[in-house]
Amino acid sequence: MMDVLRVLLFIVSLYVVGILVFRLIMRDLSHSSIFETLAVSFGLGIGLLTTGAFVLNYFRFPIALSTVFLLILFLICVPVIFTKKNYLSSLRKIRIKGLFSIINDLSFFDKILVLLILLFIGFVFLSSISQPLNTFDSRAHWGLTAKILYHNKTVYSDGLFDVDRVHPHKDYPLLIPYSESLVYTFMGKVDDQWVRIIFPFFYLSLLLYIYSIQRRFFSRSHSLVFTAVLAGLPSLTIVSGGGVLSGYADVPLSFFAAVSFLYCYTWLHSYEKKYIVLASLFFIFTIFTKNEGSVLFIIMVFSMFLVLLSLRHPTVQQKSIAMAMLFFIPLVGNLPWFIMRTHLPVYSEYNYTGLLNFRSVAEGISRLPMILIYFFKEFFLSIHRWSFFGLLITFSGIIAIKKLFRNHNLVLIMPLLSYCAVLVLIYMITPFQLNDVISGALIRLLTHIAPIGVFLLSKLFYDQKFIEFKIGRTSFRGL
Amino acid sequence: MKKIHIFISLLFLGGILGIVLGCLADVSRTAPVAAKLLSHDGVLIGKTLYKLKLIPWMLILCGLEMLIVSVLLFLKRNGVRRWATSFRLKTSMPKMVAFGLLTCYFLFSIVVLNFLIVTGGADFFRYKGLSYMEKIEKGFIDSGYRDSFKVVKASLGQIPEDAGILLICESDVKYIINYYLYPRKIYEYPTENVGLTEVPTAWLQDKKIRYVVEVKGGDIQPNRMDSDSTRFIIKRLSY
Repeated sequence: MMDVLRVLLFIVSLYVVGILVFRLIMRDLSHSSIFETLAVSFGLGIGLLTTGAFVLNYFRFPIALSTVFLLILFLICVPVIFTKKNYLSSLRKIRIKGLFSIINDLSFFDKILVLLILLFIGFVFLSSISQPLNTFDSRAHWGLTAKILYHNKTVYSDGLFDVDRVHPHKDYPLLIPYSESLVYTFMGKVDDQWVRIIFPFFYLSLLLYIYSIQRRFFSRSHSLVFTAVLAGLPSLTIVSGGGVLSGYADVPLSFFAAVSFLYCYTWLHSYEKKYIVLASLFFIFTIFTKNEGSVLFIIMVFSMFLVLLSLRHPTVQQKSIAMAMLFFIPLVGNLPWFIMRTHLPVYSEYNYTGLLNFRSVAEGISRLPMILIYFFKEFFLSIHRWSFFGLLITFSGIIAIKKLFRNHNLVLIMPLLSYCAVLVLIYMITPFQLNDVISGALIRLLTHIAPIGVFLLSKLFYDQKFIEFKIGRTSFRGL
Repeated sequence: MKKIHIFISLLFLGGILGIVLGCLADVSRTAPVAAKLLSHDGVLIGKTLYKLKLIPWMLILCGLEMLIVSVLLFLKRNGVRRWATSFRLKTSMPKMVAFGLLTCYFLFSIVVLNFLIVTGGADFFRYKGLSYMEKIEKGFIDSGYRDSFKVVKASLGQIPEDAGILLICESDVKYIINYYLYPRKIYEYPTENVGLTEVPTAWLQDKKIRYVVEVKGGDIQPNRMDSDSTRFIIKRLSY
């Protein structure tokens, strides 16, 4: 019972920190729904606590329970001090009331979709706490690093810095290990069953965020349809392949990347600085979660730059400030990690930046047909992993080809295509046998961009009027 | 007979068929054959076999759901008919295809959900009431490293928590063993395929290594049920 309470205390701390920081950035929570507040708050809470713990460790402060409480206290006090308005009255503006009115306002069709989404969420929560970590990387890599951090209370440990200690990837980003070690710190022991509770929260937050960001642009029923599409995407829920139950960092990365990308997209519609601040903060966490996060960050900055070049509005000043924030905040936020990383042992064959040269790319061209076949098989034929998602997005993209590469849609489609191109490049230069690295990993890598793909699909369906819904108390009107 | 009635009847019959098939299916004989067919090299894989054995339960669950949906549709048949009529009038080919794909997507999602519920339920009952060590053992079996649990269990019993250990193991299972033996300090000699006799004593002393765990055979390729049992030696060094 005490274990449950301690884990709950950790989760509540995340939400408290997250809500207060979100309130500080948004200034007024009445502009965001309760779902968006909850989703982003969880991301901010876990992101700030883990990066904060790492920065403390970087400056040689050990991470004990007292240090964590001080960190939480700091993260609570800063937003409270810097928020000018009466705090309690502004928090009351969180639109909880809307939550109850939605239930009464749902059509029969909406209720079925909500039920489906809730079933997926319920299943994910129950399954995650029914057994300990049991997949390979969740123990061999993420779980081991978490144990090292918890037992040593610091990142400066032989377990990570001694080249001869057994560890598959000593130089991998640390957000997930720090999250797990914080759970252990709250519990006062290593418990690899309860530690899994953080992963369903990433899944839940991802769904809530995708729903709430769609609601900014589309009707409720439309948003629910595509939230259900994301909830039911097999690659997110199945255990093998980095799904939410695997304990891998892929779903957390998908969540952080989705929030960053879609806040950039939201900024393009309103030019409000707060969305760029949020996108930049989430890019810090994206980079700190997995190596692929850095790739996603570079791709998004590049895409935003190109899109802003092609737009008349906003003003040059607004564009410059946004680009500077988007570029520098994530880099500065991760500076301690970038510095520390240079001191961690790297196995030469994993050093892809070192392998990226003209010669290795030229040698890898012969692999290209095989790589494309793997991509085709994964996306269109692996129905047990992607259902009909590949066919759906390809078909919608072809029908809406003119709109697909226009203005704001570019900021969605460009990162998706660029990320796939980077993956192809990585497989061209990998020193391993192609079959060994691509068959199991491709599903995980494509999962990183799946939520953005679902949002794009939702946008295409809306633009092409593939399905139409009455506004308000709706009944499904068919096509 | 109206089309909607035919559809509801087919759905109802499909549900009955699913339940009957689920109840009658004898997977004890067919599942190993199917698992061999599904594997790349014809070798029985534990995880595939386990999942195949759960298919009858999934058939029963899908059948039950089809029955419930058919009854609901029958009760709301007038509304469904109206919707179907308006649907037919307003469609164009691309919209029809998009709607069809989306419907297929959701139907498949429900099948996936059912499969997850069945496997999750089965896992819940398998793990229910087990001690932590028993759960770990099951975890090893599920990952295909069934014999390697013996290495972990023996090492935990014989080697103190603060000891340095040289692990000689060719398989990736060394990472899993390392996870469970932590905070014991597990080292591997930088050169691959080196036996204990070839490891310099100075290196062992420098790393303060007091124990050697050597794992041979078995579990080299996880999941394969034809692998040899793991042989291992735990040795205390004296120098």
